[in-house]
Amino acid sequence: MDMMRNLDRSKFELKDLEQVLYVSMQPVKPRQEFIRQLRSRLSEPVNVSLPRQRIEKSHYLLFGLATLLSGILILFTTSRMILVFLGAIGLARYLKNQTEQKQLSTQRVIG
Amino acid sequence: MKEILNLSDEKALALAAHGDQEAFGALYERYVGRIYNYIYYRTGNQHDAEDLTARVFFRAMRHIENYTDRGLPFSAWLYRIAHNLVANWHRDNSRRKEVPLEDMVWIHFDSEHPETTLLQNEEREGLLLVIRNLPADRQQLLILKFVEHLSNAEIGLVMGRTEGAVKSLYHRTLLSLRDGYLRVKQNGSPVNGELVN
Repeated sequence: MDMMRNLDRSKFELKDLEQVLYVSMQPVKPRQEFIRQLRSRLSEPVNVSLPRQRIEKSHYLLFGLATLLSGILILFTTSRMILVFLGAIGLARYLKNQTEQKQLSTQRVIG
Repeated sequence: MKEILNLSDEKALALAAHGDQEAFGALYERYVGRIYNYIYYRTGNQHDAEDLTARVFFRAMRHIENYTDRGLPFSAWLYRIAHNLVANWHRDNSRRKEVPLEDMVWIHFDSEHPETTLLQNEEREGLLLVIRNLPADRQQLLILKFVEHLSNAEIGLVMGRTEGAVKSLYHRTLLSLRDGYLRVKQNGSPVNGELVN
């Protein structure tokens, strides 16, 4: 134990340091409560692993179905919007033509 | 149950890889103390040592079917997991944690005077502080040698080095440890950064 006091010496041998290390680095004992609790926690997952896997699979199926339905809905809505937009353009052109024709016929009547 | 406890590591591993909880439990009982000690000396406190030890065994259990015996002992695999987790822990905790005095399991010196014991405890604390400032592989070597009392050959298996390389690293570690410790003793302040020779 006197090794600790010898550390101040400039000529501190490596053998002395090894002795100090043997004394200082003693194994520590983990708490028995911790060991026991961890042991029981480690044995838990197996009991619930199969139901968990089933739940995960059904979730994947549900997500897949929801994605498919959402995709179809988005495609339908988008194509409908395009059709409505094109229809609106066509209607606008038609009304414009009608107005122009009316104006021409009015001018002819006046002329 | 008693039979499983007496199984060799290889047989227990084979059973555990096929989901045998009792076999994994036997391996756990065999190595939990060693892994805890390793992590305790690397982190310096009981709370993190317990947390990381738990993580090591959960990770080992999750990946036990991936463990293939390439001549490496099971303990080497566990130490490697522990080593990686401790490295992540140090990265996440940018500042090195000090060992709280109340958490340390002090060695009882045969001393008549309390002030002598206090001085010795402070010296030990200083030494452990210097050790925790060493590079990770050197800390691992010291723990395996002085806490686990492994031979150089066994340390080589765990660390993936040859026996000669371990001897060489050990010698360099002692030199830097001595210099670092004497420096701390002279300056009376903790070292900054890692000690590498």
